Parts: sequence; C-alpha cells; structure tokens
Amino acid sequence: MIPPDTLPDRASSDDRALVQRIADGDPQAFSTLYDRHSQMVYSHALHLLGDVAEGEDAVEETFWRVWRRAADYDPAVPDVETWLLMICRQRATERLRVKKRSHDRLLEDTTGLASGEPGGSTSRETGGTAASLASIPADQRTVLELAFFRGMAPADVATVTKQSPETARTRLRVAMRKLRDALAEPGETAAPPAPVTEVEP
Amino acid sequence: MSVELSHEQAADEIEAVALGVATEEVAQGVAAHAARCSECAAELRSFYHVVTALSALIPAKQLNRGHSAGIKSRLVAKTAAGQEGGLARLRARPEPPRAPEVRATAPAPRAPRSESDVASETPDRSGVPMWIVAVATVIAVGVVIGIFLNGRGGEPGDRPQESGDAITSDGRVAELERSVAQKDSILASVTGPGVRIISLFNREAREPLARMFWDRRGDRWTLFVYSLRQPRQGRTFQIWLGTDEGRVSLGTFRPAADGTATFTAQHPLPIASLSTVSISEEASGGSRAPTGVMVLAGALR
Repeated sequence: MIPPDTLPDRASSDDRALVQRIADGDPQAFSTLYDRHSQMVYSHALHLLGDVAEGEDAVEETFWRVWRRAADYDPAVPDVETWLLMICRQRATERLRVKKRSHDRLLEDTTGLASGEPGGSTSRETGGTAASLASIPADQRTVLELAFFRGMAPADVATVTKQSPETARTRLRVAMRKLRDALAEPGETAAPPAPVTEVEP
Repeated sequence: MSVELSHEQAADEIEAVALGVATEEVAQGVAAHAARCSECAAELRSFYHVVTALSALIPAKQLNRGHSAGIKSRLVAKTAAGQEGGLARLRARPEPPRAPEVRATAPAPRAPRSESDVASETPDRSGVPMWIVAVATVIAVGVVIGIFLNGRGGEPGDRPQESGDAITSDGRVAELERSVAQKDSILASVTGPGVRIISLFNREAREPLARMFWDRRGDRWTLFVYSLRQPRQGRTFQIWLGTDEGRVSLGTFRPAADGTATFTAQHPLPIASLSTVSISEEASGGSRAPTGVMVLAGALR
C-alpha cells in the first residue's frame, strides 16, 4: 500500500497536469512547475554536491531535462516531486562522477552516518523514516546512506567501505527492501518479496 | 543512449537506478528493460516511495531569489529558442526582424546629440560607464516595485474591500509581479559571470551611446541605449550581429522620447562567431540585410 503521506492529492494531480502541458510545449506550465519545485530540487542538489554554484547548475539541468523529457514521465511514479528528485539525483551524481571527488573526502563525510543522516525536519513522517532507517543493520544502512545522501554508486561505496562491489550491491538491495517494507503499512508488503542472499566480502 | 541489459543485469541495477546513482546509460537500459518486464517494473516502482521518504530527511535550503530568477530566465529563454528554432532557422527566415520589444528606461538624462551616418568601432574610453547607471536604474525600479508589493502585503487595512477593486488590484499585482520578474530577468542577463559587454559608438562619440550585454549561458541579449535620436519618418532602428557568416538581425526598436531604450532578445550564437554589434536605420518592419546607414557599432574585444 502506498504510504498515506504520499497518496496522490490535488497538488500532485495539478503537477501531473503541468507535466502533460509541458510535454505539449507549454512554457507557462514549465514556469509554474519551476516556481513550485525549484527550492526542493535545489535543496537536494546542494546536499549532494555541497556547492551552491553546482547546486544551482544542477537545478537548471534538472528542469531543462524536464522540459525535454516531459513526454517520458512515467505515471507510475507516485508524484511529480519524486520524478524531479530522481532526475535531480541523476544529474547531481553525474556531476559527482565527472568531478571525481576524492574517496578520502567522501570517507570522511561518512562520519556519523551509522547513526542516521541528519535531517532538517522532525515531523512525524520524517521521524518515522529515520526510525525505519535506524532499524536497518549498520553495515546495510551505511551502504544505503552513502548511496542516497552522498550520491555514490555501489562501486564507489564498495571502494570507500572496503568491501567487494557484490557485497555493497547486495547490502544496498537488502537495505532498500527493508526500508521499503518498514515504510509500508503494518501487515502489508509493497512488492512481492524476493530472496536475497548476502555475499560475504 | 542506453545499453541492452539482460534480466539479471537489470535486476542488479534497480536499486541504484531508483536512488539515481546509476549512470544515465544504465538507467535508460533498466527503464527499457522494465518496459517489457513486469517483475522489474514492479520492483523499480516499489522503491519510489523509499526515495520520496528519504528525501524528506534532507534539510531544506533556500535558493537565492535572484539566482533562481536567473536560472528560470535562462530556462524559459531556452524553451523559447527550442520553439523558435536555432540560428540556422533564424537565418533562413524570409523576415528576420522580430517584433519590436522596447521598454524605455530612465537613465541619467543626456542632451540629444546628432550622429554621423557611419559609426566607428572605437574602444570604450568613457570615464563614467553609463551602463552602470542603466543597471542601477533597473535595480532601483525593481526595488521600488518590491517595496510597494511588500508594503501592500503587510497592510491589511489598505487592501481593497470591494470585489471589483480586488480584481483590479489583483490584476495590478500580477502585472507588477510580472514586471519584477522581468527586471530580475534583465538583471540576471547583465550581471551573470558569462556576460560579455559590447560598447556601441558612433563616429563622433567619445562615450558609448549604447551597450549590449550578451549572456552566453542563456543566449540572451540585452541592449541599453542611452542617447539616440528618433528614426526618420517610416524608418526604424535594427540591431545586427556581425558573425563569420554575415550580419544577423536581432530585431528592431524605437527609442523613447528621451533617446533611451531597452531591448531584450534571445538568440543562440557560438562564442567565436561574433565580431561586431551594430545598429542601422532601416525601413519600418526591418530588412533582411543592412541597407541603411549605420548609426552605432561596436566590436567584441
């Protein structure tokens, strides 16, 4: 079941209509979508890139991609905000790859990740997410946190955490599934469970 | 470009794709595979909520309003460029001149001066750059409007009570907001890091009579004219970009009564292609190529 806080509402319905209009080449709809979500995209980009100018560039790239790829919007994505996030994350991580930031620095940045990445909100929903995240075993959670909050690909996570790429990938999968199930309503599973055997490093 | 992925390969990459950490090629490969594999599609979709939930943990940061306006301005300009076509298409147009887009500004008043028929391309020798005055004026106008808007929002007692008044007022606010956005856009176009400035002179002037700001990131052109006579009856001024392949029209304009004008346009051009910017007097509606006298010109240095 879809978590209650992500059920499609009027705003997301409006957003979808905007994306449809953007796909039809409506610049006014594009402008409205930018006004509505640019701050959120920027927050995300800045968090990943750690640089204001790069964060702003990522915002521009994200929305330019929205303009060019609006027709590719997948209605299965729960809301436009998530779609924007995914585009933003891809653009930002691409930038990270290009910059080839030192793994040492990234490793230093992982300090404190085992206790959960600090968040800016303490609302009930984010508190629930943080609690669900904290319930995942540290070795799996660290892989997920490095991937999500640092924008690191599994191979980079493997290098930083000194484990094999297969192990990093498997731990990421296990962590994602555990978090997905923890975020779902009690007694329900978001997707058919698939067995995962963790590979030892 | 996407890569062809087997089911096993795609399944291995689903988490990375959902988290946005896969390469673009892999992401497209997984998307292509998921389009024909319901199992992988369901798995991928099941992770969207995880991404949404995790994103709520990221602290909100404020995007600088002016920078945001600049980003938006560039994006909107690019969308317009995409709709209007690129440089090649513009060159192929039988009617190159665009509709006049002139907004009079109020830089420091200057005495009207006469101009020779042929402009020189002399370098900037002015002691007090007038473009600073023009930009300052734009900023001042934007600030005044902003103050007006803020003041209006902070004084509930001043708000119109009658619905008709409210409608009128809302329309005015919308108009002012558009104006502020326009000013923000111009500011972004003349103050960005990649902006090149071309000063335009006539043969006699020791100070530039106009300046063109070329925002290469957004392909935006902003011309401030400080002192220019009115075109003759049935004539208009037309702006030309001198490129390797000849002159390209940017549009036409008429200065305000005090000789000032602000012209904005969006037009992509390779950096190495531009050599000069010039203004000629042409028949109303503009010409395909310069036919009249050049009244102002400047070179990219």
